[in-house]
Amino acid sequence: MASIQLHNINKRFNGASTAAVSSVSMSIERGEFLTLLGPSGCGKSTTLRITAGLTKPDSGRVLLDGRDVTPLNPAERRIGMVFQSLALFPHMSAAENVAFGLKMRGVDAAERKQRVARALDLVHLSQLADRYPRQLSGGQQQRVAIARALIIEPSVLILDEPFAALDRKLRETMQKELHRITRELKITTLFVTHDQEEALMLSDWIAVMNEGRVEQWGRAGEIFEQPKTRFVADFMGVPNFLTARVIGAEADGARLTVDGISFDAPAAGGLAVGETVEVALRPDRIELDPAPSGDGATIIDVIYHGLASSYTVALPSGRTLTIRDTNSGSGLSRFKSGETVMPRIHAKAVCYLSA
Amino acid sequence: MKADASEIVVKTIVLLLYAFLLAPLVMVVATSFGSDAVESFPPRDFSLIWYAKALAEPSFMQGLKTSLWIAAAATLIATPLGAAAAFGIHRGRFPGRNVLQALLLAPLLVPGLVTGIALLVAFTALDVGTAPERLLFGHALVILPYSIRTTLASLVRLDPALEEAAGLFGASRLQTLVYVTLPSIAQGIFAGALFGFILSFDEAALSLFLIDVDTVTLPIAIMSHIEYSIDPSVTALSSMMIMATLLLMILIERLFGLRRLLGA
Repeated sequence: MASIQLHNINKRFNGASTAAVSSVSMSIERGEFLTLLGPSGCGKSTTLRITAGLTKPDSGRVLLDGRDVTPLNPAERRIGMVFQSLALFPHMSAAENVAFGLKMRGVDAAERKQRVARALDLVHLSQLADRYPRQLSGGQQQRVAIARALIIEPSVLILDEPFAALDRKLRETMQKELHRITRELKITTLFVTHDQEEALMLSDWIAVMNEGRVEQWGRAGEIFEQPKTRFVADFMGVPNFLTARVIGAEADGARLTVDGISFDAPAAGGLAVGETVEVALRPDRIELDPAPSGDGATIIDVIYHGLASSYTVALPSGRTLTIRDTNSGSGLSRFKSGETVMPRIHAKAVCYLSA
Repeated sequence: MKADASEIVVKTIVLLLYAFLLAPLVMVVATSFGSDAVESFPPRDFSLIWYAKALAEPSFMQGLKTSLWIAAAATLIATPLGAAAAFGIHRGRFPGRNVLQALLLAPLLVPGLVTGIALLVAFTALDVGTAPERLLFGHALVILPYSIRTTLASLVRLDPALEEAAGLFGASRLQTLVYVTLPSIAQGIFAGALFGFILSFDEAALSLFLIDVDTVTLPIAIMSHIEYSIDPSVTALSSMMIMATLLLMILIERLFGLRRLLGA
């Protein structure tokens, strides 16, 4: 039975000209991790709030473990949530914050104490139980918020961009922690972020959202390898959008050409020789080979990243490609601005876009 | 260096401003420590004789008692009312909300004298209340805006997710109010109460119209005292009031930070 099911959710806020969420449906199984991914204003937070019961949808249904919870308030849905601002109660200690859900549900003091100790232990915060939120670091506050959400043994854990405010290193630590905790407890998790790396590392399923709609839905690896629309490709860091001509279409692969550069591409149903097809090229699966001047493409910009460098390369037609090429380890980029190169496009670089 | 020059000008102006504000207070405190029967500055000797005289003066002590209980009672009335009004203004979605807010804050803008006359006319016309009741009502009215203002400032700063979180984790609306909302804005409410208390204690213009012979507040007692005698017992009393107010203000600043409470 699906753990979370959204059926055709619609929501338009009073006075808004466009819908915040329109016709959103999705479903995940018990214990799976689903991320709503998208830029700000794409409807991901509204979808999350509707799932939690903090916002009422205009139409559509929310089912948790097969039960229609649409008319129920958040407490009745038995949801654990980590808010974007964390929303820790400032006048309560870490332990009191964590205990809050149990206290409100009338769990007696002895059991409360035991379960708080276990929850704090789970997030490695046992020594700081008596500290107040303002006495805790950003990461420690996150842990309190997670423990507070988990202690009520929720059917679903919901997190609204919890790590957005953390610096990079701490964010990575917390991402690993969340990964460990959710896998350890096998808890169904709904997560919202605008960070595609974070989404890839944490999720089983990703729903990429844009303008209130689910633009693409799939396994994390599928979203990464086969973005279906220009928006998703762009959001997953694939910038090179081209119209290619099909010059070969076999059962085990296709061959495409753009501006006189031909390359192999994965097989795709419905390709016919002579047709044009919209593709996005993954920058780190294009290699650069030196080429005699006057033949091939010209490098017009180089940015050194350490492991790799990213190049902006102009094809003879004037069209530019962004290419990420691995460095040799000399501490320098392999090519300089102005040099002539020949891009070698791997089949795995090609993403077919629908329209 | 142009920046330095303008900095010097600003510093000088600020310094002069403070001198202008504080000089009279310094004069009052300084003269209170003399022993002359008439205020002289600087005092020629040091003595606490006028402090003793001030504390022994029955009209002062009676006035102090009246002022203290009126300030306390008016604060007890205005604080819950003001806090409730702030909730209504902040949370309510009804037509005329802004008008209501302006009306509730109006006593801040209307001079005490005008409020005093208005209340006197109204009380007389309706023939209600004794002097203590009239004073209490008038003072509660005048300090109400402070309670509203500080509570409102706290409510605006309150993260709405706090109350959402409380509800989500199983708190009823009442539990949310008691366990989460009120503790989070308690500082603002308390500060409003302290301001209200000080203001009521200090109030003279309004009280002038509401007192009778048996019920005189301390500021009025001082005014009538200096009408026919100008001995330094008044400066001694004033010095004590300045000190008390200063201590209260320091307390507020230490506990909560003045600027935050005023919503600045």
